[in-house]
Amino acid sequence: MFIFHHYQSRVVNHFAVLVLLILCLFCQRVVAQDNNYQIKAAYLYQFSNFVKWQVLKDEFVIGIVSDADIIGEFEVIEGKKIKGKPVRFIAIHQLEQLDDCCSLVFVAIDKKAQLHSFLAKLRNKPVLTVLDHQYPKNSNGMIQFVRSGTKLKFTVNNTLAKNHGINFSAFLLQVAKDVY
Amino acid sequence: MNLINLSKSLKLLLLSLFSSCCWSGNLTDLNLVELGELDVFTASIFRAHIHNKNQWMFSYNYSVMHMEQMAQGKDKITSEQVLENYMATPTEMDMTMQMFHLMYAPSNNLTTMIALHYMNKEMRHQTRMGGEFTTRSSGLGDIKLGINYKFYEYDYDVNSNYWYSLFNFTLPVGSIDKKAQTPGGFTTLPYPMQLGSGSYQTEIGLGFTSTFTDRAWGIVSSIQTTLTHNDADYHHGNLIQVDLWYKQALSDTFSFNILTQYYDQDRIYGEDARLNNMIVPTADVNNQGFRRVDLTLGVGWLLGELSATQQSMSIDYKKPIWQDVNGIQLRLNWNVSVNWQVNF
Repeated sequence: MFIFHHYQSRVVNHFAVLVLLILCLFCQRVVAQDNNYQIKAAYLYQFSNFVKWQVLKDEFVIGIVSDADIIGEFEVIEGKKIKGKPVRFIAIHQLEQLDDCCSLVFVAIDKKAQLHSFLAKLRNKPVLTVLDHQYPKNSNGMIQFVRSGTKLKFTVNNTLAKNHGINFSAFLLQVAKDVY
Repeated sequence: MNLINLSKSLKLLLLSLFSSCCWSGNLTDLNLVELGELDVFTASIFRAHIHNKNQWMFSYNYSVMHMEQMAQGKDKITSEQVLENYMATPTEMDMTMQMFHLMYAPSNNLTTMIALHYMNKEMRHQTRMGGEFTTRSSGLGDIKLGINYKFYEYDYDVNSNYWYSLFNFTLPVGSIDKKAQTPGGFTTLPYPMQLGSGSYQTEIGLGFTSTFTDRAWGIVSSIQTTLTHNDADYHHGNLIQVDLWYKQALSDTFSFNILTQYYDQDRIYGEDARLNNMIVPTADVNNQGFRRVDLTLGVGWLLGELSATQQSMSIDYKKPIWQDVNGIQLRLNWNVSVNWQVNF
């Protein structure tokens, strides 16, 4: 009987320690890592290498449209250069901020009505628009993140981009999950 | 694997292993193709699954299983009833198992795998005379080699689907000669306490997986057959298994899953002459094999964003909801497992 209790408690203890260890190591990161913005930041950086703008300013400014303060998540590309120009991020909260501000705008706001307002504001401007993955397919962004199983892919609205003077390389179109 | 792929694998492995603690690796080193291959959202797929070309997966699984309560067929029986026919009866059994699982995909359709098991088993007994004793065994189990082949894939607007086949081959590395001290002396342990089958086995199966934006489900059925009699002059019967699973993402990194499994394990054919089937029911070939339905509930999550792309954890609790054993056997009570997985 002693052996039984001894063994059972040993198994339970080992198991509990293992679970606690794992939880302690990783739970902090799990909470902080929803939405995968660092992956998306890396995507934005890579997109920019395969997009041709007709006009670029001295800085490559990326506007982040979001209800939450996520701009810090994009620091993985801080210090990088895009098209030979230093990258700078600005948080966009008002439509007026979009006036002549950016070469690329990433939109990750919750309300669809606001999404349409921001996209309308960017209409006819040579700004690459990239939409987060929570929106329905082909929500009128030039590039849109989409979830494909466990992977984060993207679709491209090439027609819309061309109408705005944005040209994608053949490689980017080839890698995209869908091209419209 | 060429040097470019090796470099990519090392890069992803480093990213996976060190990003969560000490390495501020730069995701911008990954190109668009590599970014698209990362597992960003939670959803580990149960049992056999397919990886992308040149992707490696390593997983470590630690499980604890507990069996208690003797049964005859579907009915529970007491130890006293068992002791009317045998000198001793098992009362409880615990097993801890560590499984090391390595997979590699040489193409987008083909994934290869190897699985090693290390087990600790302990069975407690009661004798007809009122005494108690415990037997233990531990060591490597059989090694499983396998391939999963995706033969049909199609997408709809809302989901991605694929069909695949699996073929596994079991190398009889686990011991069938484990001994322990019992009231009858230092004797060979009965069938459930041995670590391997002693026989070469094959398993073939068919599976379907459907993945939606925030959920996935699948079904896998397989049959395992034994090719050879082992050195102790017996072999395990066929094992038929059907898994039906559903996984729901609760956030981008956290998911809940439910799994139903049906097992039909045939009896043992032949007999180990070293065992006396009058002593304890576990030594009797007529008391081997079962049919069982298990229900498993679990949670899974990705580990951080950098590593989230590659590492995941899951904890599962399994409970049988129906079991029918051949002859007289212990019933499975519960099983808990923790799984850590890294893709690189």
